[in-house]
Amino acid sequence: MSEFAIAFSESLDEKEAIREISLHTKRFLPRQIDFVLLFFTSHYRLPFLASLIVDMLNPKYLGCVNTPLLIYEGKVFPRGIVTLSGVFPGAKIYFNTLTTQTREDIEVGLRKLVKNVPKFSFISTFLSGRINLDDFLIGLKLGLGKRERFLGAGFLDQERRVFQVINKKINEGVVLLGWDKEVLGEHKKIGGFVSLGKSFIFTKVDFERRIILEIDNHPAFEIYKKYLREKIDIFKERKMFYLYPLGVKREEGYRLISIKKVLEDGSLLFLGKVKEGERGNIMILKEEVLFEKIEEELKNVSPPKVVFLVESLLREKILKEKIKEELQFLKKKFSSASLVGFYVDYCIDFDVYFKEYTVEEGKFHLVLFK
Amino acid sequence: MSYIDLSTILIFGLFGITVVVLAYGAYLGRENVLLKKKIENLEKELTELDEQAKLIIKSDLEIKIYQEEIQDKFRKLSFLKDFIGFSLNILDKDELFRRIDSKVINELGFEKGAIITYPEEEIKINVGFSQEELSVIKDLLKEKVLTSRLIIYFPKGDVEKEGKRIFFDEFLAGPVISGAKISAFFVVSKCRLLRGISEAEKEIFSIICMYLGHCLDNIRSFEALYRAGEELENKVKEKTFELKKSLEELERVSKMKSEFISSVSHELRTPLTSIKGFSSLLVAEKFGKLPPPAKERLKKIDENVDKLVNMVNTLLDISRIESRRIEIKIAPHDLPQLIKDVVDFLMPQIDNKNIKIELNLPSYLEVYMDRNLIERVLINLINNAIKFTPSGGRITVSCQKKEKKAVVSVEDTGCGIAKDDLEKIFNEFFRADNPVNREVKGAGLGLSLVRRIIDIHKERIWVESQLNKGTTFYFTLKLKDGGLENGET
Repeated sequence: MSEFAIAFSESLDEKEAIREISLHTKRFLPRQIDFVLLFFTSHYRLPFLASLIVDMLNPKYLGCVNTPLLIYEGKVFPRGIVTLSGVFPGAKIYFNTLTTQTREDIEVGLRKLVKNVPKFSFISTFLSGRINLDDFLIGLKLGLGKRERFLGAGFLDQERRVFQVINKKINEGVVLLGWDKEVLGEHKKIGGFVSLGKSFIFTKVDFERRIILEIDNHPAFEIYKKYLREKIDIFKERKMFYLYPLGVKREEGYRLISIKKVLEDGSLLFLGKVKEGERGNIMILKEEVLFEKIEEELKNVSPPKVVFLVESLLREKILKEKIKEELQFLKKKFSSASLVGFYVDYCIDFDVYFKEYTVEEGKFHLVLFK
Repeated sequence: MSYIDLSTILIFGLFGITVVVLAYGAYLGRENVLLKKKIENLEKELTELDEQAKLIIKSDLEIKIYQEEIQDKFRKLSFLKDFIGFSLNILDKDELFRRIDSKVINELGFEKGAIITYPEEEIKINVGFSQEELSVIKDLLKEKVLTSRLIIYFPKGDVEKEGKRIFFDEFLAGPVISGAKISAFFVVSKCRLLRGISEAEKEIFSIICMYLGHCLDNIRSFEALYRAGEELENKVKEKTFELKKSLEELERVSKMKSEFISSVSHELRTPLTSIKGFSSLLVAEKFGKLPPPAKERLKKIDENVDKLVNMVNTLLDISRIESRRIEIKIAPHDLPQLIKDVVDFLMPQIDNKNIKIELNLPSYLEVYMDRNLIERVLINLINNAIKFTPSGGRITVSCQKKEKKAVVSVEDTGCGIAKDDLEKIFNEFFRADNPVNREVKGAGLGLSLVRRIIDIHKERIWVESQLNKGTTFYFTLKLKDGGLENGET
């Protein structure tokens, strides 16, 4: 049976922080530790943290992610270190090292990983802000094929970096992990966004360049003009697109398209996935219905040991203080489990409709460890 | 069947079909109208839904902007508190300006910021502005802010300068006024906030400008105070040095004077003793009878020799006290008894002048004193009282306990001392100008000796007087055991 330990320290002294974390972890996991996932804010130096963790806990695998915000037991911390450690007697964790991050390397790395990981295992990956996302997506498609049990999480900010330590060697770029199905229970993605107004058609899209050229045969920006009317100037000037992303209609719901910029011709630069002819709506995150939506999504979930939360920085930007309530709500929902996590810019998961891996901002992911 | 029958059937059949087709056509027409209506309704509903969506988005955006605004206000207040906290004790102008860094500019809600001193036009801080932008801004500041002395908002624009078109972002500019003069200009530009530059930004910006002005005032006051302090310190040092030198000189002269007086007095005492001896013998007619005029003159010589001896002795005493060559034996003695002894000793002179003497003394009171020296004090003070009290007058000698001291007073009903002379009467050779002094000759050394003796005891002596009413001399002595009388514990 798998066992987990989560630990947290706010101490700015790296040695003291890791000592605190190690003592706490060892209390729950006195035997050989299979893996440690370490999330830390920019206040700490990775080489120190990594070598201290290796010295004190000596895990078989250590993955490290530099994040702007941490989640520990339902609370947000802008400074500190959080670890998720585990032992899996009879089960396995698979990992692979990527020394460079070219499209080919990613493909080969993923192929090697997939070769070892049984079919129904879950693959997760954390991506540095320095990685080329397009290359990664192609590599991912070539390497993984059509594996639905997948979650990627990454940063757009180049200062946010990801490392993995294998055999006392630090490799930067991508953390690649495969989890036995005995270890990982479920994966849930929750947005809480609702569609507004008449649906429209994405009539002209340049997917290669990630530009929506036309919506309903008009320059794409017109859709925002229609809804924001006299507020459109301030909306455009202050780049408030994050408040109202576009949603692409799917059978199971809406997939979000984040608008990053308005180009001079009124077309929209975006992050996400959409094809010409698809229907869509303008989306809004209404706090009033948010908790109902979360409750509905988590209705039939069996109680986990550990809830690993990959929270969205975009949600934080929209919900502001309300996001703390969201975390408290989740903590209450999984009161018997440990809740730990971190914030990312985007997540990647498998789009059943497109049969492709798709980037999306604004939703949070719950990975539930059995 | 005949041809007619067939055609009849056909006609009826066709008629029937036509009727059915027409009826179905009418039905389809009705359905079509209904469908069209339905579509119209649906369109209407969708349009309504869209209108509602517009309203929802509009109100949501407004709420988000207000939320942002409120959060921003809290952030700004907190920033203001921190800024005031960390700049409150800065006492250097450059250091104060250095605190306006990119972090402070960002906290104010802007990306660019600059501080330009005036009238030097020196750029003390520049966060994000190009030199061209700053040169345009400088011109605009001189044109607008210098005259209005207010916070001014400049919308973004462009200016032609030296044949070149220079663009600048919208900016806020304000004067930093110190000592009623513009000391610098503070400029912020490129608002980072969703709502743009609002009244709140202007308000907080004006507070910072005003606060910087106050800080500069403080720095100026501190610098002036520091300079004044330094000057004062130098002056004090200078004066102390001068005083030290004067004191040394004074001590040297005083020592020389004491030595001179001491040696002269010594030198005078030997021949004076001889003169006194012989004059006394002559007056006593030990060398034969003298003619009355000669005896009369010799008597005067003898009396003046007495005065001279007395004066020389006093001078010698002063000199000894000054040069610490006198042996002082401070021990507990009964003060009332000493006063009584002195009064008894002077009783013949008191009786001679027909003066009434009154003593207000406790029966016994021990004080720390050198008995011989205090006796000299009492003799001097009572002698003076006798000298200045007219015949029929009154002298009162009192001794009282006051806290841990005995206060002795000698009061007379003489001519009194003028107010201006009161401070000088303890000086050597000072003689107050009054009818008695004009008549009775003296050296002006008695009270000087008295003060020195009291000084040796580390006690106080003072005088109160009213012209034509009388004078009272007071001095204190330390009580033994805090002044407990016999039997008291």
